[in-house]
Amino acid sequence: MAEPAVSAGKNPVLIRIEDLRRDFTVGSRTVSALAGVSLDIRRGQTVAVVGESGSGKTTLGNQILGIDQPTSGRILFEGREITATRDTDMRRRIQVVQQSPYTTLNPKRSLRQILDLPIAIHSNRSRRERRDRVAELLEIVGVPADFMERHPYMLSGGQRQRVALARALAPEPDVIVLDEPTSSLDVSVQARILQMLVDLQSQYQLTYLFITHDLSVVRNIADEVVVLYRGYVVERGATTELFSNPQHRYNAMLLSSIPVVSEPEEALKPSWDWDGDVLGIEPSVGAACPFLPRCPHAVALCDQGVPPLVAATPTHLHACRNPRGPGAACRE
Amino acid sequence: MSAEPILAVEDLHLRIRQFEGEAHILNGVSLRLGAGERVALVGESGCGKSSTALIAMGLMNSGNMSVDGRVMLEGTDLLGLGEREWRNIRGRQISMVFQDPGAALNPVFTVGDQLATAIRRGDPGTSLAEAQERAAEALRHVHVVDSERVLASYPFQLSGGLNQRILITMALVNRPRVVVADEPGSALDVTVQEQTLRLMKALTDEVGAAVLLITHNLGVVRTFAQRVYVMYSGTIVEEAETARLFETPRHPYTKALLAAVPRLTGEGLPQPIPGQVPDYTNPPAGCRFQPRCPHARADCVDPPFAEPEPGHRVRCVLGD
Repeated sequence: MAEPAVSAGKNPVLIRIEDLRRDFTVGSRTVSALAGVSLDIRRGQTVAVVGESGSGKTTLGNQILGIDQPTSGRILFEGREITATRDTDMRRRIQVVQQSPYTTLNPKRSLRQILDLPIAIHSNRSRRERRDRVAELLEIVGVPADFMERHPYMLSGGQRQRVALARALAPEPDVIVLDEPTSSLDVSVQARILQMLVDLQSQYQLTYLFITHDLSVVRNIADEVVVLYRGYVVERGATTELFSNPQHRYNAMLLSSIPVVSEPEEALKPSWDWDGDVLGIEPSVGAACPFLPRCPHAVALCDQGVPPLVAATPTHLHACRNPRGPGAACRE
Repeated sequence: MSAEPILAVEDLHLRIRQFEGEAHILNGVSLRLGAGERVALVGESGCGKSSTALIAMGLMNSGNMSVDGRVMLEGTDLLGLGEREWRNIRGRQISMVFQDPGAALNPVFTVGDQLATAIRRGDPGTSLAEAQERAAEALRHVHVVDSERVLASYPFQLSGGLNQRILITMALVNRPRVVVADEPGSALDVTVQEQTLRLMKALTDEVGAAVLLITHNLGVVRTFAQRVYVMYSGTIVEEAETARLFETPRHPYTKALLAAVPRLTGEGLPQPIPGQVPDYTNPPAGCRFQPRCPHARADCVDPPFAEPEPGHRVRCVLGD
């Protein structure tokens, strides 16, 4: 699919995703978790992928990690195709932090064992050097090195998430896929983890793919945002533009649902007709805008195929046939 | 707040005997709900919010616990009641909406069976057929299209948002005076959470039920509640009307919680709160927030409640 390029930032493109599709067969039906997703991830940037559950966020992360294979489309890393196979070094360069730190750390292993494995696989360090590296990693994420022989159950949720981050850092990656890394944590702990992510990014020139449904976090951490709806990219571009001037109606709905804590934030939320939304509607299948069944702003054109991405500005794309318009004030 | 509270929790203490010693989980919690009032109880995990709710529902007592204080529902002290008496109150005069809709519904009964059971619990004279008819009506009332199919479904066949809607319907179907809602919608998408809260507001208004909303999300508090209690480490540290609390938070803990929330205005990263909720078996003497407080000073011992403005109470030696 030809589409306009988003030129957000001058950093070179690290990962390019071209028309990625992933179909799952459910009974006699085919569901597209990803229905032709294209995007560029630039080195040193944070790209946030947002959307409701079932929008394909995690499937996209899994494709980049190589955990899952796409039905069609390509993934390029520094221009090299890594869609089908990747060597050990390629796998080293892309790591992951998953959502729940309660289920992603092996309860039978000590922190030392948990962190030792990726180091042993991806380096030639001796046992003693690996032990020093484990201590160093724990210090980097703010966990005392003498916790090394402890097991995950002895740690708090925040500490476990730090250990999960240390495990991702262990093989010295270029990219970390962060899949809802703070959504199971209290705000006070979340704030600390976010600060650490930002510090680590600048220290090690990391690139983040930040998968989340928390738009308030995205606003403060991401350079670029990709809004997914039922496997389609419905809007993407520079963070400030997507928040200050949302174009796609789905993006407006997401923004208006954020519970905020102050008047100035309330003023930034687009209005949304909540009573116009209906529950229990079956997904449409590729013949129309995927958001059509829920959209109170639909026009006649909206059922004429899936709308393509068009540029609102050079750094802001959307796929809406009845967008909110260029100068739409946030309160309509 | 109206003069006569419908639910009043008075000087509630919860102590649990553990291997490490006695944990003093709730340390004199008092809160009041006026008839039809929406009140939030907010704080970090582990500060005693859910314990307070479970005690008020008569769902927390075992051999190693001791509960002191009073929970008055329209003049009756609920703490002294036996299980038989509770059955006439729970689900009829006071009901609860739990956090995880997938786990709160029984997976081996259909939604229709569970709703009908709740209806017959409230009104034992109802026949099964009548109860099922009322269940269908209740679902249509909360805008569930295709209510026949939904009633015949098991919870795992339905979406989280729909299950949450059913739980709320179930909690309100007997027109209780008080609903305790523990993080409703927080396990769901933000769009579904918004719809859930709107539904809760509309239904409780209609029935005239008061709501005690337990949450850690200050944004949810601001959109839903009329009055707020801020809880820290088993103690209420601040109480105010919602608008006032967000305009002029007075307790250092409330201020710290607000500063930890990422803002939509994009002011950069939120500020973490240093330290963590203290160990309950050996809590710091006096103000339990003192070890984490940027304004702590030598006389931070056992602060009383100050009332700098009518209805705005704060437990801090600084007084503001």
